[in-house]
Amino acid sequence: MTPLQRSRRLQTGLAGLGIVGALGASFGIGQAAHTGHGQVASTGTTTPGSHHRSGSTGLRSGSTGRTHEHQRARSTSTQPSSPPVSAPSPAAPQATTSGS
Amino acid sequence: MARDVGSTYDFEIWSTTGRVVVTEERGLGPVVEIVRAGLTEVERACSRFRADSELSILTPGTSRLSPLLADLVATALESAEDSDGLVDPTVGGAMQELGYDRSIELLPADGAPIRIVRSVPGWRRVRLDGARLELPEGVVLDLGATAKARAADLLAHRAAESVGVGVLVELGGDIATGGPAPDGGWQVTVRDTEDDPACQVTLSAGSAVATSSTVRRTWQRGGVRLHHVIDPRTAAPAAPVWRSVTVAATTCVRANTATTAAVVLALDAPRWLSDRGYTARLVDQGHRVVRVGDWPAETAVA
Repeated sequence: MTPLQRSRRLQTGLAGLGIVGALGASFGIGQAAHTGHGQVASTGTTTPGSHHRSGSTGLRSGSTGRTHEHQRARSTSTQPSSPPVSAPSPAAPQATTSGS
Repeated sequence: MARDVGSTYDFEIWSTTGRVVVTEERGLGPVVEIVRAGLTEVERACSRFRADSELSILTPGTSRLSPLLADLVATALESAEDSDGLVDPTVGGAMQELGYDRSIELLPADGAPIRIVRSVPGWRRVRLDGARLELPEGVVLDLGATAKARAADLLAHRAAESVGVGVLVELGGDIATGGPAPDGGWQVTVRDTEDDPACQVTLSAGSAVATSSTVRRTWQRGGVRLHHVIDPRTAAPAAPVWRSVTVAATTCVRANTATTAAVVLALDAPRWLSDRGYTARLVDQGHRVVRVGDWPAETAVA
């Protein structure tokens, strides 16, 4: 998945979180909704307390008529050029990753 | 039970624990509000242990999903595709057959031996077109491998964007970050259980890390210990070659997909992770650490 696809995918998921979207609006932040053609469009703020849900989620929108397995180019390596983790600083840890 | 200390908030969720950390103390309250509300939504959408969740009441055939469940199913199908089917959301039936049919703390200590008779239907049989889901007869979805990670990704970014502070969201060991990191980066301990080797790493702003384990979330049937990472090729728990696998990536979903696939792949995991450019740390049954890619040398926890 390309960085742009990842960004759009994230915006789509955020739009799906209705209650969270409403809370976000109460902080004066606009929402982004996924359109039928994979574009991100600002929808502006909503009334605090209201629930906003976009009509379409995911990259595989109904308007394209395509199904899941045909829509995304495959990538064998999508890691960023700089590593997401590095040697620690002397500061105390803030969280722990473990299995669950 | 929840605990709020300065810029950190701890809570219990889905038979495990969660944590929210913010870079500025003023942001903790609103960030926690966003995270808790979002987690409630996710649970209502896809918990397989709630009879009234949207996932639980799905029936075979065509359904119109809520935007959130559509996103979570899409995420699961993407993970299946990215992992060549090693992480498969159609393991729900196999999971039930293995006895993991309720919240882990409610499972009996032991039970009748398991006889695996079912195969995993396979993610390609599930069709998702926008919010329109086609679910074949006999296919039971389990979004457990990806939903928690997706929730962490979405909520870390939403909260950081909304409140304007750096945010770390940890859900049962799945960690996502949004917004700026603290000076020096997010400091994360990597340790599965008290018996396992621990190290500390710096997680860069916007990055994520996840761990899959074969020694946590276990139960017994017929005196045999089972764990919850199912190999879709056998419909049984993956061979426990690794006690745990940890991967850092650009999103928690990608990290979690890679850790789950690595556990399933057993001895082939290091090469698979390396070939795909992942940064990973694996702990074998002898408590030996194998580092892959750019994973830093082991450094004791501060």
